[in-house]
Amino acid sequence: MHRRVWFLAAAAAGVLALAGSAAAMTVSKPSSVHRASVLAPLAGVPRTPAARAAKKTMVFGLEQTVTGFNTLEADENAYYAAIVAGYPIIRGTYLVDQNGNYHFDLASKVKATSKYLKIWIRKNANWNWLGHKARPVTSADFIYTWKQIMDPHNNPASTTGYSNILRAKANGKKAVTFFWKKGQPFADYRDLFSEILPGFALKGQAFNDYWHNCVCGNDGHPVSDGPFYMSGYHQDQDITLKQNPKWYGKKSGLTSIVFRIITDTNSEIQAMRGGEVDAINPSPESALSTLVHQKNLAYSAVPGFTQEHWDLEVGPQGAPLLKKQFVRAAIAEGMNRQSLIKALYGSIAPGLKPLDNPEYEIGTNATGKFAYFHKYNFNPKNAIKLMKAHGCTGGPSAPSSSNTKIWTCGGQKAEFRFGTTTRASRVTSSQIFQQQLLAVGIKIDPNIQDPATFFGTYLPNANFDIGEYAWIGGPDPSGFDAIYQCFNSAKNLGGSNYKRYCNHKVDKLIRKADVNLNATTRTAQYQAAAKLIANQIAVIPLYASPSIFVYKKAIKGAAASNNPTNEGPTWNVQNWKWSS
Amino acid sequence: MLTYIARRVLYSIPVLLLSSFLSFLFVSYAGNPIALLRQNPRVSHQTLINLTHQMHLDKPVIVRYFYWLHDVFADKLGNSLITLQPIWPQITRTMSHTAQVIIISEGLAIMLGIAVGIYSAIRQYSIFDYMFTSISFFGFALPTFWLALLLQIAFTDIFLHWNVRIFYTSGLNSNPGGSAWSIDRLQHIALPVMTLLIISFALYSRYMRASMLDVINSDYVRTARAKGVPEWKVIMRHVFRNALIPITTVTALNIGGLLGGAIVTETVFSLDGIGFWFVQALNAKDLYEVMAYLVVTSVIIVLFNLIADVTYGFLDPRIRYD
Repeated sequence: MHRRVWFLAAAAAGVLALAGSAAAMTVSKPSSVHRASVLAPLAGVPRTPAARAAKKTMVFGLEQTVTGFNTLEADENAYYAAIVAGYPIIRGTYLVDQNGNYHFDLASKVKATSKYLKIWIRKNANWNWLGHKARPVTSADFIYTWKQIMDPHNNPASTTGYSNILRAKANGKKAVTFFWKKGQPFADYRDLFSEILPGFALKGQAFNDYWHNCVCGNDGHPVSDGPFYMSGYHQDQDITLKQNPKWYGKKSGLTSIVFRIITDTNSEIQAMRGGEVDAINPSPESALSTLVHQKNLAYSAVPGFTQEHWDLEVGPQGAPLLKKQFVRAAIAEGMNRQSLIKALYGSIAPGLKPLDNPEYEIGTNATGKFAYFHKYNFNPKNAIKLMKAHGCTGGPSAPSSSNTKIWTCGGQKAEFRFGTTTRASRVTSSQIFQQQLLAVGIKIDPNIQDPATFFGTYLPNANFDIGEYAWIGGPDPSGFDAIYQCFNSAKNLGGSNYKRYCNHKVDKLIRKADVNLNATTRTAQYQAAAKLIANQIAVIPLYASPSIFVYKKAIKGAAASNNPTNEGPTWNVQNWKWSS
Repeated sequence: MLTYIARRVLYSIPVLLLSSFLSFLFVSYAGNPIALLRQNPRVSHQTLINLTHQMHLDKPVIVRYFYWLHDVFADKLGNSLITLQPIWPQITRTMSHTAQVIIISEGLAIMLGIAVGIYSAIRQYSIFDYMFTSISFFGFALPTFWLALLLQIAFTDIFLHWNVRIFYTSGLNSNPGGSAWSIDRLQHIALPVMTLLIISFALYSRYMRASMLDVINSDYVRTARAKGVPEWKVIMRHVFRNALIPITTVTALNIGGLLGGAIVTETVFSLDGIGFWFVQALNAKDLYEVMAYLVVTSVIIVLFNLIADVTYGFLDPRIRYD
C-alpha cells in the first residue's frame, strides 16, 4: 500500500511535468516566433502605461477573437478583424472618417462617369513585403482584387458594385479604369476597393483560405500598404502590429500596438481601469458607466451605424391586421422609443435619440425635414384614437398600465407574434414595449430565440409578425437597398426584405439613385424613398447602438478616433502617440 | 487487471460513437453557421449558396455526420468550418493552457483540502471544524462568474490604490507568446487558479473529513489504539491512508471534468484554454470545432473514469477486477 501511494505520487508528478512542458509550447505565427524567458515581459511589452509610453507602444483590448483578416471574404468580414487589419495594415481607395466623409487614401484622384470608374493611384503608395524589396501599389493589384471578388469559387462578403463592372483596363502602373456594364454605373463607387489585395504576394493561395493567422504573402512574411504590419498572432490571445517604415504617410507615433483579446466586457472594464490595456472599443453595456468619469481616461460614445428596428411583416404569412397602416401607426405611437434608449444606454451614451429615418443616415442626423418618422413618436392617446376611428372594439378607453383589454378589428385580435434574439438589450426591449403596447390595447407575444435560429430560419422564412434586430449600415444609403426593394428571388432583389414590404415607387427611386452619379440628386432620390417608407411604416426604426471608445488621456490624436463606420477606432491610428 | 482495462476501453467505443452522434444531431439543429451573415444586406445570395454547399449544410444531417466522422479519423478531427484551419493544433494548444491552470489549482486544492479535512475530523465539532465547514459551504455556494469578477475588481482596486500589480485580470502573458513558466504567467493565471481552488477546496475538504470520520471509527483503528500505538501513527498510518482511497476517486473524476474546460472561469479571465475556445466555437456556430471539443472531453471523462476505477483497485487490495 505504502509503495503504491508513492507510485501514484510519482505518476502525478510526471503528468504535471508533461502538462508544463506542453503548456510551454504556444503556437506562434507568423514567422516571428517568440522564445520567451522569465524576463520576457521586461524585454517585450512593458507592463505599465508609463513604460509603454516610453517605449512608444500600446495595448488595445479587443472584445472578440479574430480568426481571419481578409475582410473582403464573407466569413472573415468581422468588425474586429477590420480594426486590426483594415486601416492599420491593408488600405483602400478611400479613408472614411468619423463623420462618414470620404478622403483619398491609396488614390490620388478618382473619376466616375456613367461609363467608367477611373482611379489614379497615389504615386508613393507602396507594398512592404518583409524580406522583399518594397514595390508600388499598382493597377494590377486593383484588377486582382476585383477578379477575386467576382470569382464564383470565392465567398466574398459583398459583390455589390463589383458586379456592375464589365471589364478593367490598366492605364500604366499607376492608373486603372473599370468599365461599367451598360446602364449600370455604381453610384456608391467610393465604397468599392475599400481594401486592395497584393496579388503578387498571394500567388498560389486561395481567397477563401488566406490571412487566417497573419496578413502575409505566400512565403509567410507580413505584407502591408498601411502604417503598420502584423508581426505576431497568437490565436485567442493577442495580435501584434509593428510600424511599417515604408508606408507612404507620415511615420506613426507608435512603434507597435498589441491587440489583446478580452472577450468579457466586465474583464475589459477592469483591465482598462487597472491600466492593463490602454484603449478599448467595447460593446455598449451599462457596466461601462464606471469608466465614464474615471480620471485619466477619455470616454467617447457616438451613435453607431447599426439600425436597431422592428420589422413589421406584411407578407402572406404575417398577421392580416399588420397589413393595415393604421394598426402599424398605432403600434409605433404606442411605443416610447426614448424610454427604451434611456433604460438601455442612459448611463453610457446620454443624448442618444431614436432614429427617425428608415434609410440610414450617419448618427442621428436625420433631423429636421429628414426626420420623417418623427410624427409617429410616442403618443398613446392617439394610438387608441386611431384604433377606435377604424372601428376596432374591445380596447381601453385611455392608456393604462393595468389594462388587459385587447382591440379587435374586423374580427381579428390585435395580438402579434414577436421574435427577437437573446441579446440582453432586445430582451429588455421586448419587455418594455410589451407593457407599453398592452397599455393601449395591443398585445405582443415575445419569442426570444438563439441568434442562429432567428437569422437562420425565423427571418428568412418570413413567418412572423414582428421581429426586432439590427441592420449593419454604412455612410452610403445604398447598403439598405436589399431591405426595401420588393422581394424577387429570381432577380436577386430584396434579399433582406424579410418583412415583404413592397412599393414600386420606392423601387423606382432606389433604382434611379443606384446609378445616379450626381451626389445632390442622388441624396434627394434616397430621401424621397425614405419618406415613402417612413410614411407607410414599413419598419419602426428604434435607435443606432452607440459606438464606445475609451482610451488613456495620455494618448494624443485619438480624439476623433471613435469612428462609427465599420472601420472602427483605428482608422486614424497613424495619428496616435503618447504625450510626452 | 489488463483484461478489465481492455474490456472497459472496448465498451467505451460504442459509448463515444453514440454520444458523438447525438451531440452532432443536437448541435446541427441548434443553429446554422451562416445565419449571422444574413444580417449583412450586402452578402450576396450566391455567397450564401456557396457556403451552404461547402459546409455540406445542404445535405441531410446523417450524411454530414459521416463526413465529420471521416475527418475525425482521416484528418485528426478535421478543419474548422469557418476558418478552414486544422483543429488538432488548436486542441493541443488550448488543452495545455487548461492543464496548467487545472493542475496547479487542483494540486493546491487537494493539499489544502486534505489537511483541513484531516484536522476537522480529528477535532470534530471544534471551532476550527465549524469554521471550515462554513467556509466549505460558502465555497460550494459561490457562483464561479461572481467570484471571478469579485477577484478581478479586488485586485484592480489594489493596483489603483497602492500602485502594486499583484495579479493580472485577464490573458496568459503580458508579452505576446510569453513563456509558460514565468513570473508574468503566474501573475496572469493566479486569479483563475484562485477561483477554481476555492471551489475545489470546498469539495476535497468535505470529502476528506467524511472519509476520515468513516475510518476513524473502524475496528482496526480501535485495535491499533488498544495495542498502544501512538495517536499520530494511528492517524497517519491507519486512518489517513485508508481515508485517501475515496478521495483518489473523487480527484480523478473532478480533474477529468475540469480538464474538459473550466468554461466560465476561462471565459471571464479570457484565458486561452479549451473551455474558452469551445465558447468561441459555439458563438461562431462552428460545428466541427464544437464537435471536436465534445469528443475530446468525452474521451477525457471516459479515461478519467477508468483511471478512477483502476486506481481504486490499485490502492485497495480488497478490490479485484475479473
